[in-house]
Amino acid sequence: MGKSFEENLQRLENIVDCFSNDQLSLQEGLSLMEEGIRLIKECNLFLDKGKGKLKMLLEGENGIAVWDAKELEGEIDEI
Amino acid sequence: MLNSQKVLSVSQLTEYLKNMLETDIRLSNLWLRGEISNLTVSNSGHMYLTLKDHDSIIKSVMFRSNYSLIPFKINKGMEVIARGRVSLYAPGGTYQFYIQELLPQGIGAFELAFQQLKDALAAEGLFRKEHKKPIPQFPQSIGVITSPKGAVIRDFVKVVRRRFPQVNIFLVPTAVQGTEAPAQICNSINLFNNKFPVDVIVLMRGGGSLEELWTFNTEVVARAIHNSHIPIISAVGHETDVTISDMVADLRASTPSVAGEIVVPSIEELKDVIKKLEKQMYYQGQSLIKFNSSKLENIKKDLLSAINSVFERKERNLAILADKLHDLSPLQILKRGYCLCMDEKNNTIINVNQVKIGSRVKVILKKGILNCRVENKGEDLNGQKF
Repeated sequence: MGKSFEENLQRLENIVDCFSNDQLSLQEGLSLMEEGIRLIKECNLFLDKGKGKLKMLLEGENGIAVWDAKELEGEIDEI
Repeated sequence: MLNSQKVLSVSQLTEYLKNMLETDIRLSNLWLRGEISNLTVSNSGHMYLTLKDHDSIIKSVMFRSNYSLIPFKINKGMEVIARGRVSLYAPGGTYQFYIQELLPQGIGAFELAFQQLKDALAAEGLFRKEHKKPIPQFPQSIGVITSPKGAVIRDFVKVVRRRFPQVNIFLVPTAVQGTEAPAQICNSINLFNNKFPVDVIVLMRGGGSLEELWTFNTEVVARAIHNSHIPIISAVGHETDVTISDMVADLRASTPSVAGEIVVPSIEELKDVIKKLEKQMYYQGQSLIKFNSSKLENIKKDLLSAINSVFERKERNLAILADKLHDLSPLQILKRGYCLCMDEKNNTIINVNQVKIGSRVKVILKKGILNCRVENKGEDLNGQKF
């Protein structure tokens, strides 16, 4: 993804704002819409992206160790 | 040991007195109430002070091993209760109170320490709004500082996953209680700041007593939070617990679950936002097209009416010209009794020189033609020669 979701969403809001300008030409409007449709696609793609990572970090002498921490996803077993 | 006949050394007397004091069971462990005056802390970390009341004073000392455990700051004039023993300091020739435990009077030690640190950091400006870094709206990675055990981290992960599954969560297992905890929390904050950048840090602990939450009221933790370049959300204890960490942090969440709600947006809400923007954009795009096509329609109309008006103008001009032409027509002149004379080749004759006597000419009247022969010619209508 080229730009961050945040930037894309901002641009999208910006595009909608642009339409309130009376001076907007049809040509400009159409290219804004084209861009908007692309941004919506990208935003939705990002929102439908799979689950993020869940990792534990530990700093040791040889740098940082990173490992999966799937067990933190679940409920706690013991009370 | 002591008898009146014997001459004693100073040390012998002192030794005797010291022994007397130290073997008195009541002096070996007692609680003493007094006001602190003459307070100094030596380089080696022992505290020397004087406790006093209205009429008396007693020199006192608190060794580093005990003094370092006191959470609050000790000030001159403070009313305290101290537990300790009485003994004698031979090199100084003074009896002293050796303090093991010191409590502020009227208020708990931790409450006092909390108040003191809060006042000091507030005076320094650490809680000011201008230090609060903005929390990113759409973090891609969250650094979590808490214990990997227990429900806190699991509750947090659950809430975050439900709202915004795609975010990456990185937990640094960190003690959040006990003597190691403050240093570990500082290390974890530094780890994210210096070696493993994330968009936002969440510092968490479940509920507990003031003592159990004490780590989050220590100055080192407060400063580590303040110095972090990455924004920090502090979520310590329950709704009602407010710690110094909460106050220094860029944002306070009342509980770890609330932190999960705050730190990421809800994907459903975001989808709604995008849907709304999409709708708005299409609506606006359509109205732009409509607007432009009606503009085109108007231009077409204008163009047609412009062309029409040009035609009309030309038509009017033509009629005027036709009228003028009509007025100028020779037929109009003939109507008034004039006539037109032409030779056989239909040349109009306007001068007598154009015809010879005896030639034939046509005289055209308003109605009909006369075929005539020229019998005579005169010079001038007004002249006598005619």
